Amino acid sequence: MAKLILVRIGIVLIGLVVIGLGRGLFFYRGFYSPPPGEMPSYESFTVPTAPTSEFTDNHTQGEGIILIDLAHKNDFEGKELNVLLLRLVSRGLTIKYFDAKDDLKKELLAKVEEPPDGQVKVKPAAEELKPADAFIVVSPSLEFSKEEIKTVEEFVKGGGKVLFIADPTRSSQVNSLAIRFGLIFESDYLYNMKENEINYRNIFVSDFKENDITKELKKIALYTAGSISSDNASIAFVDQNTFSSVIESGRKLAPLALAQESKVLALYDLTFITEPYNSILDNNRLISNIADWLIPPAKKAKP
Amino acid sequence: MVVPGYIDSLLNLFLCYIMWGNSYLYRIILTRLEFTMRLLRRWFTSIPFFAVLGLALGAVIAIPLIPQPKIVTISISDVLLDQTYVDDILKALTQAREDNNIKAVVLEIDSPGGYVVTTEQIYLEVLRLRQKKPVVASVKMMAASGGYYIAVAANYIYAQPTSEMGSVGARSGLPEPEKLNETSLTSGLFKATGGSKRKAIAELEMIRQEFVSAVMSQRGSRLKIPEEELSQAKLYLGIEGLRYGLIDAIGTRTDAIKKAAELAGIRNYGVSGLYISQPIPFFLFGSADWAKLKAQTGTMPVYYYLYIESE
Repeated sequence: MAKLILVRIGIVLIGLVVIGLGRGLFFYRGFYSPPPGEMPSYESFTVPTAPTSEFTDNHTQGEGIILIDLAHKNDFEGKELNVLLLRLVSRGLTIKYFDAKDDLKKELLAKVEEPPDGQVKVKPAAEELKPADAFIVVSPSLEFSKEEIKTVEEFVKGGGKVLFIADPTRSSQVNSLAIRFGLIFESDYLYNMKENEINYRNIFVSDFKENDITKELKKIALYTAGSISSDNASIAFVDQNTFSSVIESGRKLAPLALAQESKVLALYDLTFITEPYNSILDNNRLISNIADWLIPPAKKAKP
Repeated sequence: MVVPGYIDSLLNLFLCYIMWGNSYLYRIILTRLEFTMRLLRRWFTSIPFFAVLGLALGAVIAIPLIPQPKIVTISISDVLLDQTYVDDILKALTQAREDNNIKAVVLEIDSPGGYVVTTEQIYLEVLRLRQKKPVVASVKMMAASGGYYIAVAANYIYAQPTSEMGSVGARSGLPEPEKLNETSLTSGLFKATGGSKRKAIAELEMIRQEFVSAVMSQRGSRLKIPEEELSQAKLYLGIEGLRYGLIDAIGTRTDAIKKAAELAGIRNYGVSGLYISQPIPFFLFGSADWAKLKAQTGTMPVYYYLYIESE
């Protein structure tokens, strides 16, 4: 009797299992095995920053007038030149500003326009007639006129110096004047995905041509710099891992150039001159070299 | 007479029927009853009966115990800037993880990304889900930046030949220096800005590293482009994505569902969608709106895994 009951229970259980199995096989054909969990090691994410350098600005004294262009809707703020201007002033140089109502010929060449016939000629004071020794042009938004270009060319021929500063992040018509001296600021920016100063647009430069601007420089950092094309006037070159956003030819790219027998200097980054970027690596040294270069040679005091 | 005799028989029959005594009808009914009882006794003690019982009980128990497996689709579309929308996505992912009837999930992605934080919330939740059930991503028009970040958390990624994906990187407006005045003070140098501009740039770089690492660790050996190229944040078409290992196959939602079923080891499954509230439509975020987003930065930086045209 007991055996009979067991058999009957067994049969019921088999029926149960058959249905369960059947339903299972109807819906399932395998199991999911999750892949191994791969997570990045977050604590390993660090960002090396270029060291700031202690810098003492040892300089010679001189005298001269530095004219800063404000007449071409220049795209910069006055405070962005503070570091450079302080170096110039500490060297005994005088800073003057040129705006739209001024006469460029008068400022650069000490030439005064003859008044039209019948008008009284007013002789300017001797002080006002001193020509500038250097002309600084920063990110002009307006083109230079033919007259102005002629004036600046004459100025450089006569021994004056011109410093062009542009920046890929600013609007600029600097080529309207720079091209007269064999310099073209390309419409690009330089980048390095491998080795950079925190961001791919902040590049290092350590390949320099020996001259007054690059003396004692080992490595500088530029912050969204562009490339300047010239005929053999480049004085600083990027490395093989730094590329132009536009130029693909593979030629050596240069953000700094010195043309016209070292009388015209072109820089294609404004940021490195400003705080706190001036104190990264040898940037301060470069700024001081530029300030020294701007002192008219005849008026340099002996150290 | 014949008629009285016939009536007499009927009466007898009627009386027998009423009395239930040793009448002929009673004996017939009883005999029939006894026969039925014998038959039933034979059936209910026989093996086929218990077999049928077992099968019936099996059906009753198995149906609720082994329900039809389900694959659910979760749609992740448009910009991930609305926290309410992101919370809904997270709830749907949690529900999918906890519901034992759901055996696999298909993420339908059509998004250019959003805030770094909201993207990461979804990414980590998908990873958690993936530990329990397979997740297959199906890229519709776009899985760029944060949209792609979420996709790489899936076991498998499908896209159409001209779907757009990639843009591996982050963006941010940089903090502006605090404007000082005499009527408002903070207790610390970076209370208003969160840090210097250089710190914000450094953070952006760490966020980039995090995104690139996530892609490289999740795609593993399937990825066929170096980290440096990935960091350029290019946008790729589906066919390029396949070539470079950014996705696994060209296909649509249908293929993604089939793949999810294959990974889960299920068949004859049901498919349904988990409802999520509608996000703010992306067409409202045209190219001009990076300016709006940037304007939200104020003095503190805000980081985005977002593909959006610059001003």
